[in-house]
Order: sequence, then structure tokens, then C-alpha cells
Amino acid sequence: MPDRGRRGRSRRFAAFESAIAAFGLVALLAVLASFVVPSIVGLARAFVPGVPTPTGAPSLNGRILRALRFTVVEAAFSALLALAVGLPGAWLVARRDFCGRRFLLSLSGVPLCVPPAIVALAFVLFFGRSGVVNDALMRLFGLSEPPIGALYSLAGIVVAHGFYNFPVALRTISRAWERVPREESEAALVLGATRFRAFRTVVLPRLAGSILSSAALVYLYCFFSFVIILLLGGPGGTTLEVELYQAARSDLDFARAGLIALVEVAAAVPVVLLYAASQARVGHEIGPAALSPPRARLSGLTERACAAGYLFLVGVFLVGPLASVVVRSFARSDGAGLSLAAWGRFLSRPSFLPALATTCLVGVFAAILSTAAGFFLVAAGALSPPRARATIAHPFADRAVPLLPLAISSVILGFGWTLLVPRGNILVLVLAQSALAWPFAWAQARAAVDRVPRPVVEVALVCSRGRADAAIRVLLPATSRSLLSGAALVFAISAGEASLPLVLSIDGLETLSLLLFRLAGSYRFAEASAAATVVALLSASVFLFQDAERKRSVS
Amino acid sequence: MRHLLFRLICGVALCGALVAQSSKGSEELVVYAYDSFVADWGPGPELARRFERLTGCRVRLVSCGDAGQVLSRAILERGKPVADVLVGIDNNLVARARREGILEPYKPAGADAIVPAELRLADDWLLTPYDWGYFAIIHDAKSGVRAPRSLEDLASPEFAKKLVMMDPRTSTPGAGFLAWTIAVYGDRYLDYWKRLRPNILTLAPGWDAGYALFTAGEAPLVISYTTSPAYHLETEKTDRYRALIFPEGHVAQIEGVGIAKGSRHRDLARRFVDFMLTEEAQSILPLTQWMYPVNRAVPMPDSYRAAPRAGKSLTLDAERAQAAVDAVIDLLAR
Repeated sequence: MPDRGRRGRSRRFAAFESAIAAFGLVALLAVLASFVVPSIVGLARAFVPGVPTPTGAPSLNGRILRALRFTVVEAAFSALLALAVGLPGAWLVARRDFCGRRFLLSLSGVPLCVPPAIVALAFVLFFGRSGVVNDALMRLFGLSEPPIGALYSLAGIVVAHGFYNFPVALRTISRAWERVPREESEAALVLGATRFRAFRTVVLPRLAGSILSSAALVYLYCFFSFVIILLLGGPGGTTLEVELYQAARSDLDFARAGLIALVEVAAAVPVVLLYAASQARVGHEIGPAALSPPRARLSGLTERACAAGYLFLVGVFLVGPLASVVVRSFARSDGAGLSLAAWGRFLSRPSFLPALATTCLVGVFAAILSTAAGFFLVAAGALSPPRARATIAHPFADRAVPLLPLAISSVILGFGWTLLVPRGNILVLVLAQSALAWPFAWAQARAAVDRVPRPVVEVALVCSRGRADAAIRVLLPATSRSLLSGAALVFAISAGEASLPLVLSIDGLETLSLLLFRLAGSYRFAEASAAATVVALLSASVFLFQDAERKRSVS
Repeated sequence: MRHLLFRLICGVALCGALVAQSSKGSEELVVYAYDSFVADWGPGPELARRFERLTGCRVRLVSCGDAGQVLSRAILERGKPVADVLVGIDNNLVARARREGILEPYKPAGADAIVPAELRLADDWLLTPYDWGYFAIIHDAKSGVRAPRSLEDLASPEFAKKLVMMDPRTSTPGAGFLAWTIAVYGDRYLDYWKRLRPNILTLAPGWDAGYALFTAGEAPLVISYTTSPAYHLETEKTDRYRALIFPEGHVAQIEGVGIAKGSRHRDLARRFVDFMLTEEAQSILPLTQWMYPVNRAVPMPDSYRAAPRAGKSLTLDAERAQAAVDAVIDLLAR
């Protein structure tokens, strides 16, 4: 009988929806716990007095202040550079169609998955004293000393950081830009405003949220940078993270490590809070749910010249260094020519296939968990009744809490995990990585849900069976592209992450990132470069696939 | 009735098998080591296999990162250690390991005969040495830059920005080089570093990053071990990289294996330490660790002819080096 069948189906669907909602809640609680508990355990342990070292620690305050100043300076400049490069790229990707557009977008996940040591090596291979650029310049102009020596300085650090991180800014801002209604800026132009004024008054406020969130993310990432700082910073350079490493790993002075970790948190949390406060003031970016008009091709000489110039810049500062790593994997040790020997050795290693499988498995599960947690938090905030929304959507809870994982050092988290879990397993690895990577999934979900107009949400609430129903039937389809983008980011981060698998000491675990780390530590750099290439290709293909979905649903 | 009896017997057999399996599982030796030891191409897996064949007990190899992290993890687990055996604590870390009280002394069978006096890490055998190597500057013969003749020569102006050094705060060879300069120059080591400073291209965070820079051609000189050229000769068939022997002498890194204090499988751990000194175990080390095994009876592979022996041996003063790290970093940062 049709009536009963339909009621039965809708009952089953309701049960299915409640199950999904429950999963979302569990995911959120899991990722929050996986961050809070190890952090507290790690920090607390760092305060237990250990055996005093007989070095007679000198007055540390000067060192720590110097480290703090340098850390803030390099992180701030890196964030500025990432924005400066990301903004024009975002316009290019959002508003214009050109060959290489999809390539540029899929490039955005690659830096996240390539370990910082490889990035540093990439920049050295390209910009170093005997790197590609200096080599070419010396040959071209017949110089005896390499002309570009600024790599090992603050400038080098900022350039490496900025270009390593600009794809995140590009991705976040371009998504927001796609949704900015063109009619408004066109109306402003008709009414006599200059193009710059139209941009400043109409477009920029709409992008403010995504710009600020990208800046905060990049700043926090660069704040805790370690390998790039040491390798490119020249002798004696120091940041808070380096001091923390020294205290925790070399001096084994856990009390001092705890102090430095607290200084780090104290310096990073205000950035998170500032970001949260600014988001609240900027307000929701209400964009039409209508499809954006198709992108135009590049027109005019200036546009083409600027686009070409920009792409050249990206090519030199991002693709070039990464490509050098790929080339390194084909290098022969006697320097003469290329060979596939390293690839052959790497691919035929018994641990290669298990590592590839585990990397994909862990990445996918971490992506699912992170996206579920991020979407649940954002949807719960958007769909709650106004009074509850005032508390849940309170700037702190709503916007600051998800970014907190980015405000603590991985050394302390590692401590915490070691103490909590003497013998780990894959589930713990998925939880630990999700705890670190979910802010990225959350940021994408946040931006997407903010774009859904408030009236639509309210109508959905009225017409649905409940909040879960509204979330799944209305919010989810409207935000699915962004959610997939966030999932892809989490996958990339998980694929490139090697410190958690080491810290958790999981029996028989092989991942590509561990394999890479291991190869680099035992003379096998060509193979390590091959491993990095595989990880980068894996992440790039995930992004390509995800963007193909995006293109299909837009058209 | 017969069916029931049959099922009962099967059930008991199954339970018996499970119990037997789990009790066999309880005889598992947990070994903490640094990452390259545990890798496929490192000595760990083969050592574990041979030990398992010898004793019938399982070995669980756990990678902690680097040697410092092995120590750090053991300290965090003090009192209720998960590990039975700690591999990788070297002459640089032994004093700290002793202070933290995470090892228990054990003199392995045949130690007097096998381990030469100069390689002993502790008189009470808190740690048993299993391999060693001299720190040395490696020179790229294809770089066009001449090789420095001594530690003092290394500081001469013609090598400006030609030396990749490792950060003594975060890397063993970095700390080893600092200890080397202290052993040679005594109290005047800071003067030496002042002269050396312009020659340092960068302080790499670890051996892997620094050596990668070196092999990429970024600089013609790097701090590593005298045995590094042997690796290149064996696997890449090149003698391009030469270890330089300095007349002032060299300090050595001696790596040790020890039993965790409070280990639950003390007897098995002792057998493992005994096993580490036998020829069966030591013969794996040259081509996997690229360090000299302490057991002189082990024949060395042909590629080790590229690894020169130091003329003079100096002692590494770990405490002094540790105290000097801050001073050197402050000097370099100025």
C-alpha cells in the first residue's frame, strides 16, 4: 500500500538522519577530546620537576624574548606575503578561465602534504648557492660567485613560508570571491566609482572574512615552523619552537619546555581570539545561492600580461622548487645525468605498498572524521534557536575553539600522546591527526554555511522534521563542495604528517611520510625525493578529483 | 551427545590454543630504538629475526625518532617502562641517562674479551657499546674547492660559506662537532667558533637535512662520520666524497644498548644484550648502520677501504659540550 510504504521509507530516512547527526556529534567530541586531553597531559607533565641538569641554566628571559620577537616577525611577514600572492591568484581563479586554472587549484593541496624538511630542501635545490637559479645566472652572466645569496636569511624564510602557504589563501579566498555578486560592483562602476573604489567598498568587505581566516591560518602555521627556520635561518637563528625543541629533546629540561610552551600558547591564542572577534564583526557574507555566472576568458593585453606574470611568479617560487625535488629523485650520485634507479629501489621496497595503503586509509578516515566534526559544529550553530545560538555561536566557542589546535606546539602534543597511549593503533592515529587537521575542514564548512542566506536556513527549519533533517536536506547539499574541499585538505595534511606516527609507536605501521622520513635519515635522498613526489601526486590527484566534482556541479 | 562432546573438545582445544598463543605473546621483548635502526634497510629487522630464531621469543621493535627521543621517552615512562631494551643511547647521552635512572647495569657475557677498553661507555656497564664511528668532515672532491688540512685550517677565510654544520641543539653530529672543538681547543673553543662562523653556511636541524644539502652540491664540506664514504662506495659506486683525517685527532660516537630499569622481561633483555655482542649480530652492522662494530672479529666489507682511520683519538666530554651549547648559539646569533 503506497501510504504505508512512504511512511515506512520516511521513518527509515528519519532514522538514517538521526544516525548521521549522532555520528557528527561523536566525531566532534572525539576530535575535541583528542586535542584537549593530550595538550593538558603534555603541559602538566612538563611542570613536574625533573632531575635538575647541572648546566646551571643561564638567564633565559633574554633568549626567550628574542625568540618570541623573531617568531612573531617572521610569522607576520610570511602571512602578509601569502596574502599578497594569494589575493591576485584568487581573483584569477574565481573570475577567469585560462589554461592551467585547474592545475593551479590542485597545486593548492600540495604544500600541505609535503613535509617542511622537503620544502626547505626544495628551496635550497632551486635557490641555493648551487641551485637551479644561481647555476643558470652564473652560466648566463659568467659569474664566479652565486648572485642570489639571500636564501639563508629572514628573507629566505619569509619567501619559503609565504609561497608554501599561499595556496591555502588562494583556495579560501577564491571560493568566497566566486560568490561575490558581480551586479553590485558593476552597479558601483555605473554610478561613477573607480575600479579600485568599487573593489575596496563592494568586494573587499565580502572577502574580509576569508582574508582574515587565511591570514590567521598561515600566521599560526609559520609561528610553529621549525625545520625551515633552522635550515634557512643561518647560524644561530632561533624561534620559540626551536627553543622548545632544545629544552624538551636535547636538554630534557621539561620544566623549561613547559614554560616555553606556555609562552607560545600565550602568543598564539590572542591571534585566534582576534580572528574570532574580527569574524563576528565582519558578519556573515551573505551571498546569493544562485549559481555564479560562467567565468570569462582573459581579455586584453594588460590582463593577459598580468596573468602571465603572476603565473610565472608562481612557477618560479612554488612549482620550481617542488619540481627540483622531483628531479632530485632522478639524480645519479655521481652527478652525471638522470636515472630511474632510485625510483626502482623505492617502488620495490616491501614496505612501499603497505605504506601507500595505510596512508590512503588513514587519510580518508581522518578526512571523514574531520569533515563530520566541522560540519556538525557549524550546522549546529546555524540551526539552533536564537537563544541557544547566542551561546553556541558566541564568537569564542564558534570561531576560536576550532582553531585552538593550531595554537599549540606539536612537541607538547607528542608528549601528551606518549604518556596517554604507550602502545598506539591506527584508530588513535586517525584521532590524533583529525585533532590537528580538522580546523581546515571546519574553516571550509564555516565559510560555506555563512554563504547560505539566513532566510533559507529559517525556512528549512520550519519545513523540516527537525534540525538534523534541515541540516542534511538543505545545508549539506548547499555546502557539499566546500566540505569536499576541506576533506581534501585534511587528506593532504594527514598524508604528509610524520611526527604523530613516530610518537604513537604503532606496531608494524608503515606510512609514506614515515618512509620518507626514514629514507632521508639514512643517506637515501633520491629515494626520499621519490617518496615526496608520490605523496604530492597522491594529494594533487585528490584535489583534482575534488575540483572535477566542483566543476561538474557548478555547470 | 557425541556432537556435544565433539564441540566441547573443540572448544577446549581452541581455548587452549588461544591461551598458548597469548602466553607466547607475553614473551615479547620490546626494544626502543631510533628510526634508521628500525627501518627495513637498518639492522633492526634482521637482528630481531636472528634473535627470535635463537630464543623463540618475539621482538617488538619500536621507533622513537632519534636517540635523544629514545632517552626522552624512557624518562617519560620511568617507573613503569614499556620498553625492555633501549638502543641508541650514546656516549653523548650516557651521563644524562645515568642521572635520570632509567637503565640498570648489566655486564654481558664475554664483554671483557670483545669490547676494547677505549670503547667502554661505563665502568659499571650501565650501557653496552655495540658500534662506533669517528666524526669527520666530509669533502666533495668534485666541488673544485680544496680540502682543509686540519680543524684549524677549516676556519680559514677561503672556506667562507662552504661548510654545512648541524645544530648542536637538535642533532647528534652537531653536538659531536662541538665536543670535538672543545676536546681540541679546551677553554679557547669560543675563539675557534668565532673564526669558524663566517664559514658556516647554515646550521641544519638534523643530519638528514644537512647531508642532503651536501649531496645536493650546496656546500663542499659537511660534518658526518668517517664511514660515510663507505656508503657511497658500496651503493653508488662513487668515491667522490672523502672523509678528512685531521692531525689534531677525532672524537668518536659510541652507541650503546641497555636494559630499561624495571623491565618486565629482564632475563630476555639480558640475553638480547649478550646477543648484540656476538659475531652473528655484529656482522649485520657494517652494511646497515655504516658504523664500526665493537667486535673486532667481524670482517669488514671491501667498501670500508674508503673509510679512513683516525690517527689520534680524543675523548668526548659530553657534560662540557652540553654546557657549551648555549654559549655557541649565542655567539653565532650575534
